[in-house]
Parts: sequence; C-alpha cells; structure tokens
Amino acid sequence: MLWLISAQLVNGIAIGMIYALMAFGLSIIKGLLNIPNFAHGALYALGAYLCYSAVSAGLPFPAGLFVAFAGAALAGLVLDRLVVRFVRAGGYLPQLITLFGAALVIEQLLLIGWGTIGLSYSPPELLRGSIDLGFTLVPRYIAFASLCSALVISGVWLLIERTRFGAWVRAGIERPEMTQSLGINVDLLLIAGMMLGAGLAGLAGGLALPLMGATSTMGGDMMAIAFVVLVIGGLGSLYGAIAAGLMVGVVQSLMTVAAPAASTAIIYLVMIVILLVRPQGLFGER
Amino acid sequence: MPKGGALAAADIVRAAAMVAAVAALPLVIPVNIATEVLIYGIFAMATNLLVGTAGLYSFGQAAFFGAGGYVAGYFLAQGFVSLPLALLLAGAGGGVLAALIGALSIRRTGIYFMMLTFAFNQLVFYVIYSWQSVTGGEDGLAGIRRGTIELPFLGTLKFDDNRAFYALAAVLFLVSMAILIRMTRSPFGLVLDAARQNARRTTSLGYSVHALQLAAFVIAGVISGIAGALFGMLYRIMPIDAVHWTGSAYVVFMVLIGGQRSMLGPVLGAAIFIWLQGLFSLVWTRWPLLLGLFVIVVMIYLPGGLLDLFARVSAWRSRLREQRR
Amino acid sequence: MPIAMTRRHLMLSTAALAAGAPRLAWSQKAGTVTMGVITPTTGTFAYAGDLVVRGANLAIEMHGGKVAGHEIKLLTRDDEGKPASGVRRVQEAATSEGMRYFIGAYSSAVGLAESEVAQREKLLQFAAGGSEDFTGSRCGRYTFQWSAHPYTAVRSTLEYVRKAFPQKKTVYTLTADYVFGHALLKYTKIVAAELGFELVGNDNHPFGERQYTQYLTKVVAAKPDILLLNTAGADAVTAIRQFASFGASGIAVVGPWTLEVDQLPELAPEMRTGMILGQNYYPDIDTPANKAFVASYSKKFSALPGYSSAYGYDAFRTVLKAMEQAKSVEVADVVRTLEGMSWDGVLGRMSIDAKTHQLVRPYFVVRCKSAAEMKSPADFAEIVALGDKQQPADQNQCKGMAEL
Repeated sequence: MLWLISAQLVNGIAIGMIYALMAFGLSIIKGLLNIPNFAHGALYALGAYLCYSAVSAGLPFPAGLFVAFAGAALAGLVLDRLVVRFVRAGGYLPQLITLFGAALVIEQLLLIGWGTIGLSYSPPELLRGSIDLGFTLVPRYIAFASLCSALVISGVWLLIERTRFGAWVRAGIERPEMTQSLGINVDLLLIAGMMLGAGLAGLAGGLALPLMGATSTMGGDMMAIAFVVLVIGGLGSLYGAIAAGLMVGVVQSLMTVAAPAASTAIIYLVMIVILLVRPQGLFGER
Repeated sequence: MPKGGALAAADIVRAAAMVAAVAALPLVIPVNIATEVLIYGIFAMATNLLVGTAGLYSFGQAAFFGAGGYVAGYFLAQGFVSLPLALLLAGAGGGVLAALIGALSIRRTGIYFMMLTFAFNQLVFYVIYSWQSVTGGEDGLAGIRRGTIELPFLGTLKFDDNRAFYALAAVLFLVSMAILIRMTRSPFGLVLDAARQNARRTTSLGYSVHALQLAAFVIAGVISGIAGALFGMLYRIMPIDAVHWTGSAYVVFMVLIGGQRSMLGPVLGAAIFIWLQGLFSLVWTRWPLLLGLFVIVVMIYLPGGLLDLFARVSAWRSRLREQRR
Repeated sequence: MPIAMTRRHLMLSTAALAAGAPRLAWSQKAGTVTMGVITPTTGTFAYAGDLVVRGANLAIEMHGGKVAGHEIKLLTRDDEGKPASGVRRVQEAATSEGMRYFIGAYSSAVGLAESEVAQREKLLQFAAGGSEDFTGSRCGRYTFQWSAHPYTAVRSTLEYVRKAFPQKKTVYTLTADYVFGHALLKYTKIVAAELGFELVGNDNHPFGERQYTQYLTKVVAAKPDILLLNTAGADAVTAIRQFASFGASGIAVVGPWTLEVDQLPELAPEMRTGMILGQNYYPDIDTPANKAFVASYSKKFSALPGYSSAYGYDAFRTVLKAMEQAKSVEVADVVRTLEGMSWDGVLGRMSIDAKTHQLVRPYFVVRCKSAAEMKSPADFAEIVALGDKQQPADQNQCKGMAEL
C-alpha cells in the first residue's frame, strides 16, 4: 500500500507540473490584463497541433516545443488585437463569453487546418520507456515533461523577478496607474503579458502532445483544471498557481488509490472547501 | 415620467404584444423548436435576474435546470401523472439546491463567485452522472411522461399533443415573465440593482444585501428548475448534457447576446441562439466557428446585447423622422 | 472547407443521379421517401459525421437513387454528440421535413435519447453504438441496432486470445465508469470464467479522463499478462498512448470494443503494434457485398472505408433492401419485413433478431501490425478471427416489443 501511495505521489507531482505551467500562463494574463482567458484551452490545443506539424516536418522535438510556444504567443497577439482589447473595459462575464466565442473559433480552425481525426506523436527514442525507481516505474517522458515545466516556470520567474521587463510587469500588476505615469508604455506591456501567457499555454500543449495527442477538444478539460488551479492558488498571487498545480496533480493521483471514479470530482470539492475556508485562495491577498 | 394610468396602458399594450408574439411563434417555426425557445427563454430570464439585476455572475445555473428536470422526470417516469405536483417538485428541487449552493457561495464576489458556482455545477453533474440507478447516468433519464392537470368540471387536461404542450409552456413562460418583471421593479429588485452598482453603500443604508441576493438566487433556482421540468417533458427524456457546465455557459450567452437590461433581452437571446445554431449547422459543418464569430461581434459592438441594436435603430429612425420634419 | 465541399458535392451528385433516372408518371405520383443521417460533425466525434454521410450516400447511389418507386431524399443534421441536440434535430427533421427513417447515432447516449423520439413519432431508427440497452432494457419496436452486442464483442475477442496465446492467464481491466464500460466488464467476468482467465485487478475511470498514468502505474505494478481495455473512443486512445510511454512490452493490450478502424490512425504505429482489437467492421472483410462497397468507395474518395462509412452504407443498404422486399416505404411495413429478414450483407450472413432488434452479424478480431509490416499507411491490421456468439437470451432485458 505504501509503495502505491508513493508511486501515485511521484506521478501526481509530475502531472501537477504540467497543470502548474498551464495555470501560470493563465495567472500572468489574469494579473496583467485582468481578464479570465477562457481561450487558454484552445491555445493549449493549438500548441499541440503546431508541435505535431513541426516534428512531422522533420524538426527535432525541442524545436517543436519552441514552435508551439512561439505560435501560441503569436495567436495570443492576434487574439489581443482583434478581440481582447475591445472588451478589456467590460466586466468579467462579457469577457468570459467573448473569449468563449474566440475559443470556439480557434477550435474549429484547428479542425479545418488539421482534420477531424486526432493525432499522435511518440517522443524521441531517448525519452521512451520508464525509469525504475524500485517501488514504481515512471515513464521517462513524464519525468522529462515535468522537469521541462519546472525549468520553464523557473525561467519565467527569473524573467519577472530579475529583469527590468519583470519589474514593469510586477508594477503593472500591483500599481497599474503608477506604471502609466512612470512613462512605461502600458499597452505594450499588456501585449507582452498576453503573448507570454498564451505562449506558455502553447508550450504546455506541445509538452502534452506525446501524452494526450492533439485533438480539437483537448483544451476544454485542461482549461477547467487550469482555472481551478488558478483560483485555489489565489488570484492576486502570480506564483500561487504553481503550488496549487502540484497540489491538484497529487490529490487527483492519490484519489485513484481510494476511489478512482471520483478523481475528477474531487478537485472541485477541494476547490470549494479551500474557498470556503480561505476566500482569497491559498496565496491570494484579500 | 408618465403617471400611473399612462404607464399601466403602456404595460397593457406591451403585454398584449407579448401574448400575440408567443401565440404567433409556432406558426413561424416548428412547434417543438418554438417550445424549446420558450423553455430556454424561461431559463434565461431566471438567469438574468441574477446576472442583469443582481450582478451575480453565476456560472452554474445548469445545475438547477438539471435538478428540476431530473426530479420532475423521475417522478413522472415512475408512473405519477400530476403535472402541478411535478412542477412543484421541480421548483422545490431547483430551489433547495440553490439555497444550499447559494448559502455557501453568496458572500464571494467576482471570479470567486463564478468559480464556486461552476464547481458546484460540476459536483451536481458528477452526482447525477454516477447515480445511475435513479438518473440513468450517461444515457439520460428516459420514459418521462407529460403529466396531466385534473380540473374540476372540465376534466383532465392532457399535453401529449405538441401544440397543447406548447400552450402549457407558453402559459408558464408568460407567468414567469410577469413575475420576474414585477420583481425587478419591486423594492426587492431595486435594492438588488443598487447593490449591483454599489454593494457597500446599499449595505450601509440598512439593507441586508446578502440575504436579498440569496433570495434572488433561490428564486432563479426555482424558476430554472421548472424550465428544466418542461425540457424533460418536451422530448420525454432528461439528457445528461442538460446539466453539464456548458449549459450554464450557454444560458449566460443567451442573456448577454439578448441584453440584460430588460427581461425581453434574454428571451430574444434564447430565440436567436437556438435558431442560429440550427441555421448555422445546416449551412456549414464547421458552424461553431460562425457562432463564435457572432458572439464576438455582438459582444464587441453591442455590449448591451441585441436590445442595444433595437434601441439604436429606433433612435436613428426617430432622428430621421425629425430631420424630415 | 474541403469537408464542406465533399458534402455539397455528395448531395449534388445524389440529386443529379435522382434527376437523371427515368421519371415515370406513377413514381412521381408516389412521391418521395425522406431519410436522415443524424451524426456528429462537431464535438468529440466530429470525425464521424461526414464519413457516415458518405456511406449512406453511396448506398443510395448504388441503389439507383430510388426505392420501391419512390425518390429518395437524404437529409443530414449535426447532433453535436449531445443527446439534447440529437433529439431536437430528429424531431425537427421529422415534423418539418417529413423524415421517416434515420440512422446516425455515434454515441449511445445520443442514440438512446433519439430512440425515445423514434418510438413516439414512429420513425425507423437504425442505430449504432456500444450500449446494450438499445436491444435490452430500452429496446423499442422502431429501433434496430447495427453494431454487435457487447457480449459478442467480448466473447469473440477473448476466445481468440485464449486460442492464440494459451500461456496468457492474468488479466487487468481498465473500465470506463458508465453503462457501456460496466456492460463490458460484466461480460468479461462471465467469459473470463468460462475461458479460464484470471482477473487480477480492475480500475474504473471517469468518462472523458485525460490522465491515465495513475491507473497505469497500478497496472504495471500488478504485472498482468493482459491489459484489457473496457473503454472506448478518445478515452481509449489516450490510455493506449500513455500506456505506450511506460514501455511495458510484456503486457499485451486487448480491446474487445475499444477502437474502430476509423480511430486507429490517431495512434502512432509503434503505440498500436501487436494490439488485439475487436472490430465491427474492417475493410478486408471477404464478402462480395463488402468488395463491391470497398471498390466504389475507394474509387470515389481515394481512401478505404472505415466503421462509420460502412455503418452508413450497410444500414441504408439494409433498409432499402427491406423496402424493396416489402414493396412499400411505410415504416410499419418495413419494420415487419426487417424483423423476418435474412440476407447476405457487407459483413457476411446477416439477420435480425425479432425479439430484440439486434442485427445478428459476425464480429471481427484484428491484430495491429508494426510499422515494418504495414504495406500502406492504411494497412493497420489483419483479421485473425471471426465470432458471432449472441448474448444468451436469459441475460437480455428487453421486455418485449410494442404494437406497431
């Protein structure tokens, strides 16, 4: 029993890192632009498709991941210029519905571009098979994907905490009016934030490709989880999403030991309980 | 502002126009689609009490629609036939669930409220999905009968004929509309509206805002439950996707597309939404793309919904008329 | 866009064919019969919709565009893979377009919901899908089931495994946590006991699960000889994909009703190599009717037909055959004729069980080929066995058929 729990713990952490990556992008967009990006799941799916096309065209897998990031970031730019900037001043609900509409459009474009049959890609030879930890087997690719997510998250953390761009971003999140008066082009900053967040969703999609394949509807499930993670982490906190992502991954994974069929429902229950005890989420400020 | 008499006269004209429109609808579109428009119209109006009047952005209304549908559906599928009782049970089912969920969520605001209602919707979905012996799970609750009404002297009213069932939906639709309009104009509605604009000030004026918001949440739950019961009876099945969270998203779609500022908006939204889906799906396989574009365009150019369009058109026409003079 | 084009093209070609046929005075008077294909072209099963329409169109075309002196009018509607949309579209097509016959459910939940409308409005529904309820607890006089019964699927697949791999004994099952998965598990238990398999573990996963590593961790630790997938569609694709990432080559993957040929391209060849799958249809089926179908289909679409197209084709072919035999396009006549019919169809010798409306037909077991064995990109597998054992009558829950 103990080995099973440890095995699920390892699995949960690995999966949780991918959730964290998704929710981190969502968190950046929410923090900077103050919009709930309901098209985040569609961007994730776009990333998976782009990565597939890149590796099918003969590019190595890391290049495929970069294409997924860059492509989704560009899509984020387009989304911002064509849609988001017009609803930025509105309430949550109109924003949500508008982005829901945008997600419908993106998903259908994916079907038009890549066909209705889902796609699969096996990871490079080096990442196939499992690592034997003694008490459990961990597929190499899952280990790689979680490590990769951790590295990317750390990289973005350094970008935000240690660079001038990061300082603007932080200022933009904490004191938007003051940032404006300091002569920083806030509009440009917001675009950069949207692109970064969208890019991270695309990257998560690329990373998920060998595990989940590429389908037009893959974004829906992932986005629901990403929003749960975001809210558990706390809206005011940029990094809460990371801890919350790990937590959700672990809870979901451990749940399969006790009651597998309830492993999806449990994360909503966890979210409700957390919000009832701490209305601002785990790391949010009131 | 016109005084009492004139206002009442204008209201009577509007009410008559509404009744005429409802009576004419099944002549224009197939009767089942017309019935569905009215059912979703009821559901959307109830949702608008929350979204438009009270400013409570609920993203979990399908839970109450579904609860009502399943409660009434189970009752009718078990061989009971009393329609009033079925509707009562549906309203109670939606209302009790709304009271529970509302009590736990109503103090949260913005995205937190939205996510809480969404999460509860997911839990309700999960329960209905898993409780297969009662709800039919994935395959939906089948064998629902359309109930009957026993009237003294007149005998039994049956609704197996689709036109009769439309009439039933029409009556419930008009009654819900009248109640909801009255409610938004009553002191209750005015306080909710004030709280939407400034909750703190409304509280400081001595109103217990949360209690009133909870009441609105429960009322919306009751009415949504009744709409759900009608939906179950329409096709004699309660499908699991009626309680899925996308149902909550779609009803909010309807409210926002139509317009939140009056109860006519959500009804318009429901009609357009159901009609557009059918139309687009005949035109092109990739029709959700058109739907998505439509939603984006409406939200960007008509933030007040399609009602805005009518307001603008009539303003433009009256300006034109004045110019001519 | 290309999909829309083919649809339009198809409809035009059917129309042209109908117009080109010699118009006799009596046939014009006799009018038209309206048949519908209600399939998902959006949502999870988006790939299936147009394929079913292709098959149905081909059946009409090869029949000459007319049946029993009536012009055939074909309607297509999108059910979105949602029961609520399915019933709406069926009802609408029946009331405003006069549709009397329809096929197309891809998801059982949609088909079962539509069946309620079919019984009420007296429409003949030729359904497909995995649920045993079509011919069991929710059977109906107006509904026929094209797909094999889950019992037949489990029985055929496990019988083959027993014969081909006598040394494989222990089985771990992964089951979709809804009616369909539970039915497969129920029959797995019965058949496994008869054939001498040992069930060492089972996990239920929720419908739409996208994360299988936590279940697969348990599977790999239990070291069974066989992983039996009692799950289907996108769930199964994801589970297989993630199982491949473990590289546990000692465990054979078997799916009695898991992936139809249409979905095999979703997996990379190395993910499906050696897998044993039950199939409702496979293009290699050796019957004259199937050869004719495959030839016309490949000529027209430069591709091999799959489950969806074969279903559309064979279901329509069967109904048209019944109409000719009944010399009528009245639903009641066609239902009665179908109930007593026995014929050589696409799948082999076929008949309909009048008590349940289950199509009695062979079921096919295939072994998936490795990339090296594949002669073409669509050469996924080879047929290794046929089975046609029907569900034992004492386990059927159909409480009898209603009067017409």
